[in-house]
Amino acid sequence: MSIRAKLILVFMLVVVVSGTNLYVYYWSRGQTDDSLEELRRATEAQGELNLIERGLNDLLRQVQIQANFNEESGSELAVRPEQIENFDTESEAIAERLKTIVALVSADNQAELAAVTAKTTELIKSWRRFYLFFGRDHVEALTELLVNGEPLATEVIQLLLPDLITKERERVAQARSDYYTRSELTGRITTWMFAGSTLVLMLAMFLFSHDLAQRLARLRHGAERIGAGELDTRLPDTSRDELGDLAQSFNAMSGRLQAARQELDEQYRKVESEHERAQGLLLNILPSSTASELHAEGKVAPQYYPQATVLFADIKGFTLATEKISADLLVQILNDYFTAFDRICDKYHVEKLKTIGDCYMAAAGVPNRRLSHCVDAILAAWEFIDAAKVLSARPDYPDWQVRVGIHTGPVIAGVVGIKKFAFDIWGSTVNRAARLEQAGAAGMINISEDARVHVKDFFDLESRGAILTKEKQGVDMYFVTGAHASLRSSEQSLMQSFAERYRVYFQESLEHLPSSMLGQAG
Amino acid sequence: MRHLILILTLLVGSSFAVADSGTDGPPRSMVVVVNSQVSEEDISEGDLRKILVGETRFWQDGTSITLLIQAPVSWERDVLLGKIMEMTEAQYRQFWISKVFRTEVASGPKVVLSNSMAATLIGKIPGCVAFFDSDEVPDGAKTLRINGLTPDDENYPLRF
Repeated sequence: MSIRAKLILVFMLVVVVSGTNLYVYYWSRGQTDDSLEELRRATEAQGELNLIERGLNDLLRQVQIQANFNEESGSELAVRPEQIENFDTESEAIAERLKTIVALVSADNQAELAAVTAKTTELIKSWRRFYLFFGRDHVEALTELLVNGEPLATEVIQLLLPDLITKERERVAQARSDYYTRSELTGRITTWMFAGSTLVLMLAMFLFSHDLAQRLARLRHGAERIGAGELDTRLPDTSRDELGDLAQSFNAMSGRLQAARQELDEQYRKVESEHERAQGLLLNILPSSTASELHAEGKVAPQYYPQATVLFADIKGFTLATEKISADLLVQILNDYFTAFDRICDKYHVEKLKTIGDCYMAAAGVPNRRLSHCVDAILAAWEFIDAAKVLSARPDYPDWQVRVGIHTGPVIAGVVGIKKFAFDIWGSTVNRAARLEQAGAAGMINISEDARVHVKDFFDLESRGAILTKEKQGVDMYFVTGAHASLRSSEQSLMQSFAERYRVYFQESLEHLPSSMLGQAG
Repeated sequence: MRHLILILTLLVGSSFAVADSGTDGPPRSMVVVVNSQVSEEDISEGDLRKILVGETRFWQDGTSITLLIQAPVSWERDVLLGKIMEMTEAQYRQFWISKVFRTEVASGPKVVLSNSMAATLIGKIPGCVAFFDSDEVPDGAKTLRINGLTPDDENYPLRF
């Protein structure tokens, strides 16, 4: 049933209940009006009877006084005309009342009233004859009075009329009782009817409003859940009214939203996957902080680093190998070497910059500034050499050795261009590091004086003296021969003592040392 | 004025009559005369007094008692009021008017203007009772003995 139909039903119920109440009210009023009318008539009849009784008593007294004490009324003293006139007036009033009262007296008492009327008429006639004869024929007057008047007066005034008055009084009492009983009954019925109607209407309104409120609350709650992203929310309302239609539309909407959301999630996952892939690619060519900056700003501002360490690693024997090994195998072997170097760089916080042919270029202290950049670069270079030894020991792999050059100094770092982004560094430090690599030896790490200053407490160094570079400049160079003797000779293990010094100098923790360096301990 | 003269005449006449009846001449007896249908033959002085003051209203057979009293200045009225009821005219009037207005009685004593009127009514009305001088009792009337005595008896109580 639709809400509109329910509203109409409730309205009809209100109309029916109101109509019933109205009917009961008018029925009750009719009942009380009937009894009130009966009470009014009975009271009026009683009043009229009392007036008749009083009138008859008055006439009786007048007659008695006239008959008993009018000693002056001799044969020459008849009743005065005004007395007759007064008697006629009063007796006519009584007769008139007797006519009027016929309509007021109850049906049960009509016979008694008729007897009273008949006897009263006779009595009045007798009294009138008494007046007519009084003074003229006193014997006849008294005879009329004594023979007819007084017995009639006794019958009417002492018997018939009091009996009728008593019955009418009882009728008044009965009518009053009936009126009060009906009033109380109808009042009770009206009250109960009103209370019952109110209860029924309240119940109907409560049920209707409760149902409506609950279903609206469910709708609101469902909308809130949808708003909160719970797109699998469905409303269980299956009723065939407006709210049911709304609930079904809501469910259809949430279903479509859920489908759209799933599709969107799928698209998002794809985008995210693509993004992660792109990010991975970007991180492969750029340091993570630089990639983040490029991602956020769309460009990377050049940064000046007063202290950074630049590392060049060149594979000795590569050029010769190109003549003996096929190109694809050569690339595969070179990939194995550089892949190993990439992993080592990650291990020691060294940033790979690029490869140039068989040369691997990296830097420490850029783009993330670390005080330990020079030590980190030497540790990575040491493990480069170890990795080359391992790889060259593989079957069918050429006996390649790595030559490393390291220099420490100021550099400028940044990304240039809009395509094929590449993080790079510039400055004389780069050139000096390249010269050190070129002046180095296979399987050795050749460092400059500037680098030595930074690592002399961590590594043992072998001075090579001033070596002429390509520019014919004499540059002091040192080979790194191993961990510093003071670290190797301590009671602690090399790893512990090296890490302890590393922490003291640079406020950083050291997690790895090349295995071959650890083999030098003791 | 006419009434005043009449009242004065009656009062003077009455005083003469009382004085005359109480002091001068031979004693006269008063008899109680009733309608012939009345069953009683004898009555006591006490019962007679009760009838005179309206305390007894019915004869033994249930017939209503109708009391006839002569108009003022008659010997019978003077004897009834002065000797039996021991009331003055004013007291007597007040006494009966009060009874009538209090509805204690349906009917009071009726005034008759002459003995002949009283005799006529006695013959007509059942239960009627009147008082006569023993020498003026109407013919055929029924008289009651007082305390079992007749006016001829020596101790007849209504001899004045």
